Amino acid sequence: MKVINETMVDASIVGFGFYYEKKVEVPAVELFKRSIIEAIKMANMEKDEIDGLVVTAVPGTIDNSHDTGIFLINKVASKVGINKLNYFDYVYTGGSSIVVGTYRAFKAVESGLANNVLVVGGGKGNLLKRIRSSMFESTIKNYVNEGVTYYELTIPTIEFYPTSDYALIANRYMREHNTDDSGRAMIAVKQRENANLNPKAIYRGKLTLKDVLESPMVSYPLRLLEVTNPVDGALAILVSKNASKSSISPIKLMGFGEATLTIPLAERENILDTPVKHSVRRALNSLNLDKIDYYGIYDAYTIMVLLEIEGIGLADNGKGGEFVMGDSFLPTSSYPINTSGGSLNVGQVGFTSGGVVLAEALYQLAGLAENRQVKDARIALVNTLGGVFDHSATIVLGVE
Amino acid sequence: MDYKQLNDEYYNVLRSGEVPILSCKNCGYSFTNLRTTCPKCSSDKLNVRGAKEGVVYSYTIIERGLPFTAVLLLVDINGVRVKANYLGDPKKLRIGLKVRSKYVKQELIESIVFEPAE
Repeated sequence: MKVINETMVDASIVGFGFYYEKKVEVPAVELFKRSIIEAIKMANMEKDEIDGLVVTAVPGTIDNSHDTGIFLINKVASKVGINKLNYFDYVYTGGSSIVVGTYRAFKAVESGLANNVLVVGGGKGNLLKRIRSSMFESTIKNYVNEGVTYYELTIPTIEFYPTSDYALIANRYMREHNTDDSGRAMIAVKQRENANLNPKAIYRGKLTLKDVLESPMVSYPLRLLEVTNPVDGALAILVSKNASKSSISPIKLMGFGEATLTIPLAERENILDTPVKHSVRRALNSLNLDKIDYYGIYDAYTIMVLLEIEGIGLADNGKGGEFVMGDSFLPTSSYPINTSGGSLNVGQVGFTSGGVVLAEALYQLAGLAENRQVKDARIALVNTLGGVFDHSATIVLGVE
Repeated sequence: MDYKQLNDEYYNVLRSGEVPILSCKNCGYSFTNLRTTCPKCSSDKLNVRGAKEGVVYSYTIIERGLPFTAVLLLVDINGVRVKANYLGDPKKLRIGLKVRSKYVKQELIESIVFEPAE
C-alpha cells in the first residue's frame, strides 16, 4: 500500500478560463478555444504540454448538433492546436458533467495517465433553446415516422421538460411543508444582490421579492425570474501535476461524491427525496460543514437551490426557505452562496448551470473574485445536478 | 414478460380508458412505466391491470414554452403514480382532487388524460 502512495502524483487545478456572452455569432468550438486560452495563460503553460482532454457539452449546443463525443474532442483539440493527447474523455451526466469531468481529470493526473489535463465544457445555449422551442411539433413527427420515442415508455403527455417536472416538485414542496412561494423566490432576490457585485453578470439591477412573485408565470408555481436563461460560452479548467509555474495557488481536490436516482419522477415514492444528501455525504467524508467557506449550488431553477440547501444539510427538510431568508448568499454573510449571481443572473452557459457555479468557486479559491471576494475562502463545496434530480455530483476543493 | 404481449395488453387497457398498471407477480411492486422487467426485483413475471380513479399528488400549469397552456399532473392511484395531462375545469384543480381517467386520441397519439371525479 505504501508503494502506491509514493507513486501517486499530487494533482491540482493550476488555471481556468470562463468565457461567455449573452449570444455569440462564432462557432461553438471557438467558445471552447477562448476559455482554454485563458486557462493556459493563467497556468503559465505552453499548449504543447497538454496531454489530456476531457470535453462535455449538452447535445444540441454545438453548431452541428451531432458533434458530441469523440468527434467533438478532436475538433476542440485541433481548433486549439493540441496534438499529443494521451488521455481523452467525453463526460455527459447532464448539468453535473463539468464537475464529474474535473474529478476524472484529477484521477487521470494522479494515476499517471497524463500530466496536464484540460477539462472543457460549454456550447451555445441559444442554439438548443431554439431547437427546444420547436420540439413539440418535431416530437409528434418522430412518433409518426419512426413509431418509437420515449412516448412509448409511458403514457404520452404534453409537458415542458424539465421545467414542468421541477414545477411539479415545487408545488408538492409547498403542500408537504405548508409553505408559500416566498422562501423559494427569495433565492432569486439574494442571487441578484450578488449579481449586482459582478460586472460580468448578464442580469443586473434592483430586484425585490415582489418583482419575482409578479414576474410572468412559466409553469405554476415557477415564475420567469426563478428560471435560468441559456447563454453561450465555456469553462476550461487545467489540472496538472506541476503547480510551480501557475499564477494562482494550486487548488486541490478534497472530496468528490456522486449519486443517482434511476427511476423516473412519476415513480419516486417522495419526489422531494433527492440524491443530493448522498453525493454530499460522500464528498465531505469526514469534513464538517463548518469548514466550508463557500458554496456553489446548481441553480437552473430556484426549487433546485432550495432542495440542495436541505440536501447539503444547511437546513432541515422544509426549512430551506427560512435559511434563505437569513444571513446567507452575500460574500460577507455567514454562508456565501453563488456570489457571481449564479446562472439565474450570469445566464446558463451552454445550457448547463454546472460551469457557472463551479467557475465562481474557482474565482473565490484563487482570490480573483474582486469586490465579491469571500474573505479567507479556503474550502469550497460545489453541488451540481443532472436531469430532474437524476444525478447529483458534489466536489470539495481547497487551497492551502 | 414478452415485449410484444406486454405492449398489446398495455394499450388494450389504455384504449379502454384506464391507466395501465404493471404489477410484479414476484415482489408485488406496481408501476406505470412500460418495462418488461420489475425495477425492484428484476423478475419478468408481470401482469397488466387497469385503474380509473386517483388523487392529484402534484400539478403544474404550463403557461410558457408551449404554443398553448397545458396542465400536467402526477396522479396517485393507491400508491402507484402516473404522469398525465388534465383536461378538466381549471377552477377545480388542486392537490388532493379526486380525478378519473379518460382515453383520448389526437392524430396518431393515443393517451390517457384526467378529469375531476367530484
